[in-house]
Amino acid sequence: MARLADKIPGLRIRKVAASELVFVISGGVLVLLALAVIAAGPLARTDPLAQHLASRLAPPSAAHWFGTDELGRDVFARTLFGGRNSLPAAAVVVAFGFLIGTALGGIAGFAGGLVDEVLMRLTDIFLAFPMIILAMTVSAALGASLIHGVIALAVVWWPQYTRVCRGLVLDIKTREFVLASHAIGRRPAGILLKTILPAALPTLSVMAAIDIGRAVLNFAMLSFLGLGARPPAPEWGLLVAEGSQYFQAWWISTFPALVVFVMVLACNMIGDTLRDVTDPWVAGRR
Amino acid sequence: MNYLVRRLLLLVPVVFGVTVIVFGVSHALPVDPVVAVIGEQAAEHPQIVAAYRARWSLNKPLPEQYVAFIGNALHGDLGVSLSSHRPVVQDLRDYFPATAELSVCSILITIVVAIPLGIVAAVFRGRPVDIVIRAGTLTGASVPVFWAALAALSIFYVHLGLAPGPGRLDTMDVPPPAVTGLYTVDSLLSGRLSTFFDALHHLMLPAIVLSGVTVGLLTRIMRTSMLAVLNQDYLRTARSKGAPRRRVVFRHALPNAAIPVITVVGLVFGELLSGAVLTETIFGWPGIGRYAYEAATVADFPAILGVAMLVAFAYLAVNFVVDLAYFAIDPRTREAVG
Repeated sequence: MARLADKIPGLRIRKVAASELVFVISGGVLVLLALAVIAAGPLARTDPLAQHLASRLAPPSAAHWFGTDELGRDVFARTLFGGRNSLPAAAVVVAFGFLIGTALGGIAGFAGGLVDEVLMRLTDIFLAFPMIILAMTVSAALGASLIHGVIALAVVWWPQYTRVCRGLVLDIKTREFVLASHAIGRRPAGILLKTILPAALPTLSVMAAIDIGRAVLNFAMLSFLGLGARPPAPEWGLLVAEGSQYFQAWWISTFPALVVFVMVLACNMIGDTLRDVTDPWVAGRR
Repeated sequence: MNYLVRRLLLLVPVVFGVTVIVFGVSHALPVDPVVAVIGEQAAEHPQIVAAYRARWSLNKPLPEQYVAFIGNALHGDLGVSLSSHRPVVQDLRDYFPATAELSVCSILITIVVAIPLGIVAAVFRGRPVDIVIRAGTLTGASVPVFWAALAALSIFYVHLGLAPGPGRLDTMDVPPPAVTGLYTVDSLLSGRLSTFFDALHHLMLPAIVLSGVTVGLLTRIMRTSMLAVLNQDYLRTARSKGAPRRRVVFRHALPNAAIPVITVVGLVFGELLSGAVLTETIFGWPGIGRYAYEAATVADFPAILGVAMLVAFAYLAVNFVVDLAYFAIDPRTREAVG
């Protein structure tokens, strides 16, 4: 772009950093995805549960953009409506993990001492279990359903937020404005809630927003295994599982998987660009 | 030394916590274990139910039950699987080597692929190579592993016929005499080369699929770590003293950049196990991942809790070893803790 400006005198183009472009594109993709899911009704033009048995297993065409599955249901409609299960489920999981994790991490970092040690051991215990095994156990115990899948995943989602929040609080509580709050005699609980945590909120919120991609992926995994959303409700992981028995009809599994992929990719790219910009060692000498 | 002892001691409450959670979950379940084990007909007879409860101490208060549970566990008794009707420990012993073989193979592939890629991406930062590598790793880390396994199976087995069928060996083949349980190692130990190649052939596709996710993660960590090290002043000094670029990268930068990678290998172990559940199920690989899945679908709680405990302990052990390695390699940790 700089060379273009050289060739055409008087033309001044700001050199757009690649990371800015990536950030904007990824963000745009996510917004589009969310809008598509919200507008699933008019956009899909078909009922996701309606079976057109005459055109079972039909490849993508003008009538059915993503083809039909083994019961003649429109895959495009099912994918769009699947987002109505996958996205809110992921959002609830992350919200729950965020709230619990921030609360525990804030208390641990602020109180220190024995409280901190105990909470950190508790976090270690939950982190020792691989997420999916614990989620499978909880889901199996409660019986597989969308809500129970969300609970199962939320139960294992909070430890990472606890760790991060605790680290942030440990750092923030040494800053001058916190010391000032102590000096003027504010109650400790007030300091934690109104001074320290709000300072940690931006980092944590960004982490949570990016995390939704991972939550979508994990919830899809759980549903794929039959321990989350149940048929005939559409959910992205469940759709891939349903299409696995007819994999020659690749469109049934591939399009929902593609949507999950795009979502996770966009979230990852946003996370990467943010990290590249904020981490001083990686950013290098600028 | 004190640091290591402290870490070991801190592990003890975590280990106990794991057992408490496993015990708690198994007793918080809405399913009555008695009915599940002895069947509904036997459950009609109160004497049988009472005898069963007495045998397994189910009529004692919870803390006593917990003690009995721990006692049993220490004697290698984790209960009986509701679906296979064999002791859970025996099931785990049968299925664990398959998962271990798959995981180790995956980690090896990951390390061999990710470390060079990470180095190249960092050294040529900003150039097309870096961008291609980063795009590749992002893609690999974002592809849903359950779909990737299905697609790999469909392409390489169904259509191209390159990959073998499900299982660890061809149906005609006999497993080698068990020493480690890893078919590759055992067949080499007993000199059965054809079995070795067959086992390797069956390992390849699931291991590659499994490593798809971890390669992405490890490459990015390696790249970030390498970038952080490459910006350090001591490298500028080395270059200004005339050291050739290659020596600066490999002898001065790489050893320091490799340190976070070790930690990540420990963390990745957990990710591998999640991927293993899906990959093993799709490839029909007889490991504990698939065992856990099948147990979960039929609510076989002794089995799934046995897997949970085994995996949690293995994870703690791996991370402790990683801590040891960290301690041994990075002199800063030794100095910091005195």
